[in-house]
Amino acid sequence: MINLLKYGILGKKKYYFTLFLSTIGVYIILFMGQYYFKNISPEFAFAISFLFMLVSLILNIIFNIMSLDTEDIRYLYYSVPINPKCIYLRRMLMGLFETFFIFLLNMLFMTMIIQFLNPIFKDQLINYLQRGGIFTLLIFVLAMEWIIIIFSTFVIASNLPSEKDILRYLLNVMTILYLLFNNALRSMLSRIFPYNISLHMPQFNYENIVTSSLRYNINLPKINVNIASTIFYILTFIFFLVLNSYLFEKYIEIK
Amino acid sequence: MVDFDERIPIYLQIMDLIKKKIIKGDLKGGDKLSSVRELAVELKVNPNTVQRVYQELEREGIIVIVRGTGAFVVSDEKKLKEIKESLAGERIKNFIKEMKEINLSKEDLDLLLSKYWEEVN
Amino acid sequence: MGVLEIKGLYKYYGKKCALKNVNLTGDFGEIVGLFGPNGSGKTTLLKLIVGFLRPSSGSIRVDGKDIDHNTRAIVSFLPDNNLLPSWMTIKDAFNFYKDFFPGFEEKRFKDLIDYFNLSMNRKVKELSKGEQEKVCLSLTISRKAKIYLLDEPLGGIDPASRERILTGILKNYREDSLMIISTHLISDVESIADRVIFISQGEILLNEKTEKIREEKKMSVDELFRKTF
Repeated sequence: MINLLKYGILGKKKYYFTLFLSTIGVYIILFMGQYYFKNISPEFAFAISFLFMLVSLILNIIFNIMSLDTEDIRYLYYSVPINPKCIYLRRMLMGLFETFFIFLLNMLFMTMIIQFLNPIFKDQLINYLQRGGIFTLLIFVLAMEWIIIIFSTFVIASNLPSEKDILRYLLNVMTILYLLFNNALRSMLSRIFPYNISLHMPQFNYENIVTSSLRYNINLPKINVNIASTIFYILTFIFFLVLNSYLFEKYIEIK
Repeated sequence: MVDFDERIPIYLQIMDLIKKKIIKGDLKGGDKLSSVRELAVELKVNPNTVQRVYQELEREGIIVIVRGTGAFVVSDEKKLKEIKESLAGERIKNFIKEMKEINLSKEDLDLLLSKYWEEVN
Repeated sequence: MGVLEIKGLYKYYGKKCALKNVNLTGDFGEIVGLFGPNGSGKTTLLKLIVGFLRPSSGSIRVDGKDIDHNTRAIVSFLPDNNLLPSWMTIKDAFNFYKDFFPGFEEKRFKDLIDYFNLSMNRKVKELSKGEQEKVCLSLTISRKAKIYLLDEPLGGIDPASRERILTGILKNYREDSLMIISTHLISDVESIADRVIFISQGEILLNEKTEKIREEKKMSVDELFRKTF
């Protein structure tokens, strides 16, 4: 697996480099904008950086899902005497690492730029993180990973052997239904099992931050998290991961 | 290098090749033949074919295979003369068959042979 | 018992039958030529042996065992299109094979690269088709495997390179392994094949020792092929 990761990363050298440069580029532009025009508010800077981060994350997710089809389900990696589910898991791990990487990189520069505009930003941010904000961010990253895992099911379905039409149909339908109804299911579950935990997980309210001042919005109250719906979320996450690994190992054909 | 006629078993052609070399003197009595693998690469044929060639040649008493060392041409002069005669004999027989097919008599053949013998080469 | 045993193999793509009742064995030390027109099922058969495709019915056993991902440690496959990702250099590919395939013969590979007049730092995407083929072939036969499957190793390659490739294959012949070469350039390959298999529309038409064909039918395998198809 380590070797798989090594070559996976080596293969994406160019991509990582481009990503890094474009991220720096965006922040340099922001910085120069402030330097020359002096009319960028911290909220605007925050909005731009957040938007850029979101775009990078979404593009990254799309690339990862596509490369499952174009790079992983191909002769070279399948010729290797390792369990094919490692190939799939490698892609999922790389997606996770990359999400983290994009996230941290953006947060680093975001902090540097906004600190320049609003000198107490760094302290506000640390305060937010300490008060549980770090969990919010972690969940955010996991949510991205969730998207990758769910959508990879479609790729796997399309690479099943041609006899397995029924299976392919079932997979596609199941995934689409899940995507459409998972929110409704979770709210239903939380109504049936209204047992909550109080967590120090301040909500991350993007709208508020952009429209009002940063200072007031990194201090939101804690929320209640429903146990049943969280368990549902975790279970389906695991379910799709295990299902996809199994399918990858047992059924994928390289045409 | 060598182009084999693929309509005839290749092993026979290789055997011929080696016999000719022995007769011409390119391979002398006691000489070591190339290893199976080397010859296969040189002639661009399957090593098993070369293996078969050596086995057949050994069966005919033309070479000797020494385990672990290689294959050697026999040093027996009488044997070498035998080979020459049998190789020539095969060809002459085939030739006579062809001449008979065009209704050439032995006398005409003798005349023609004398006429063309000097011309060739 | 041979290193390869195929019994009653069928492969369907939906309703289309790609392979019908294939029965074959292969032994150590053999070089087998798999000949057939385009679309006859040659590639499908090879991919089934290495495990890229799964049989619809029937059985394939390699070295006495059913096929799973571990089979790939002893089966080395050369596909007919490019194996290597474009970001790699020859050295990267070498390292990859070294890391993933136990028993990869480094010296053999380096010797082959020299023989083909290539150098380790060339990038895959800069290589011509013939050169790519040579690299992939070198990688494939430098692995220590029990079965080598070469799918159209000579396709689209100039005659001089073809000869070099064939010589490269011969030089690296192993008595303890089976090699199956699928191609439609029969005249190039027939002199190095012990045995010949004709396949058409998924069915095996002929499975015979090469020299026997020459003795009995008094024609070259190439001629026999043209006559048959």
